[in-house]
Amino acid sequence: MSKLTKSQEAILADCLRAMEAGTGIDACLARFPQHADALRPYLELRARLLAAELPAPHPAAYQAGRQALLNRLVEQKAAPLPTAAGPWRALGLGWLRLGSPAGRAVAAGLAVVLLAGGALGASAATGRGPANDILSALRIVDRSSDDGVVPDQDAGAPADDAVPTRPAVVPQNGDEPGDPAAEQGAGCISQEALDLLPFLGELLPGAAFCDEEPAGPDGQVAPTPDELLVPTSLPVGPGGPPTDLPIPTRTPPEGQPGDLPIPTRTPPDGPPGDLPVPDIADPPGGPGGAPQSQPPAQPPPASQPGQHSKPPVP
Amino acid sequence: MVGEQAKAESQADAQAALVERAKARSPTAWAEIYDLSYAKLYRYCYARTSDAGTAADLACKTFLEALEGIDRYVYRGRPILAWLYRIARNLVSDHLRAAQRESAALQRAASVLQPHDPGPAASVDDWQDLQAALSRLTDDQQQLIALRYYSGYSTAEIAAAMGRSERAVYSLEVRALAALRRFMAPDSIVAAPGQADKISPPPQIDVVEDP
Repeated sequence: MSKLTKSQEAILADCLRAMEAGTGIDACLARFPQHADALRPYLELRARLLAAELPAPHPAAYQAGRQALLNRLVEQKAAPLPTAAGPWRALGLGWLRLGSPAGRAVAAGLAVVLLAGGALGASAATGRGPANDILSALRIVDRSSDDGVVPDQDAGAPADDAVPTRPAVVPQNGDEPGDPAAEQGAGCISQEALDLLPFLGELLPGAAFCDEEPAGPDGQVAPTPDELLVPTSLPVGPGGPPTDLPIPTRTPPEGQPGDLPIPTRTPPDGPPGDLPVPDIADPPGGPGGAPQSQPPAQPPPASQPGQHSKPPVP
Repeated sequence: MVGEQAKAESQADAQAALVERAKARSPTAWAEIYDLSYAKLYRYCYARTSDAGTAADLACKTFLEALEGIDRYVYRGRPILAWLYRIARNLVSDHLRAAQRESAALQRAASVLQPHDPGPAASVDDWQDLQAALSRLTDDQQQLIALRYYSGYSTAEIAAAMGRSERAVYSLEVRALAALRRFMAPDSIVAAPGQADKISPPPQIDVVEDP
């Protein structure tokens, strides 16, 4: 059996294009009579394959697949499950990749929130009222930058599909009596914080590192956010944490009445902008996600307070 | 030309709207995607696996995987069918690697025709012969044959699905047809109705160089 020459291959490709537009075999080969005999079998094979009856899907399999898809849709609407992205996505942090510059920036943001957890106790120990709590300012900032910390919600997805936000980041009982952060009195960065966020020391150059780990009520070292105290620039006073602070909770899901109380104290040393907040860049391509060829977002400068944007989506 | 451009833009807008509705988990959008794409994806899976049950399973999995990954999908002008094809291709590749079925495609070709309407005998012989020859092609050639002759993709759809230009698709089709013709049995080249007098045996000549 002969092989096609390069020129014959080119002619055959041209004929295929023409036949797809509706030209017949004879009309195509009429333009190249010297090659007609060599090319005709290929064109006839093509025509016969196109004319052959295609394998049809079984109706039962078609319906079963359709129903499975719709059932899965209903399941997703009822209870969103973690995807193959792993536990990070289940916690709403599927976009977080600490190896990337954007991931580091977000980690810095989380570090700020963790430190603020200690600030609550520390500033409360000063005896100041709700208006001077830096944590409230950070929480206000956090709410405004929810899109930066919480994974980008799908366009059009109902609010009740949202995964829990920052369950292990926002302390819920940092103002209770006997809080180790308040008792310790001095701001420092613990080893646990460094283990969790290795870039913390670089991002908070003014912070001191704890030499000893504070022990919990039972004498055991508990790596809780309350151990992450504020930098030494924030004053800490005697008296322990106040007992009149409302317990911060996340926004209730859609459908439930009312908004839960949010602490509104301002930071003791000025407006919220004093504390650096990382700038998290919008993902390329919008919130719908970017293909794998997109480059990672560049990390923002640490000294740009008040700027918030969405994290990249893997 | 202007009318074609307007039509293409209208189709692109419709696709973009469909994608957005699918991201919103609209059941009607997903039903529409399924109804439009299932047959093509099934045939593609069948072309690669030669097994009706496996093809149905893989086609179903393709849509479930698409549902899981729709949030990461960004519409960039290519039909969503191209994206579904890539999912199906990955699933088929995984299946073939796991089951090592490529060598068994020839045996399966004879048994899997029962669920389908066998149709004319010539068609049955064609598909059996085609399945046997298909397994001997390169991966890209198999992809193209499956998309073109099993799934009925147009050249533009094949180009979008395979990430090639239309010119490259035609060139690949030429080589695939040439390879199929070499591997298919000589007596399986049965003339289509009305063309019995136009079939000519392949010329027995050696490879010639371009002058």
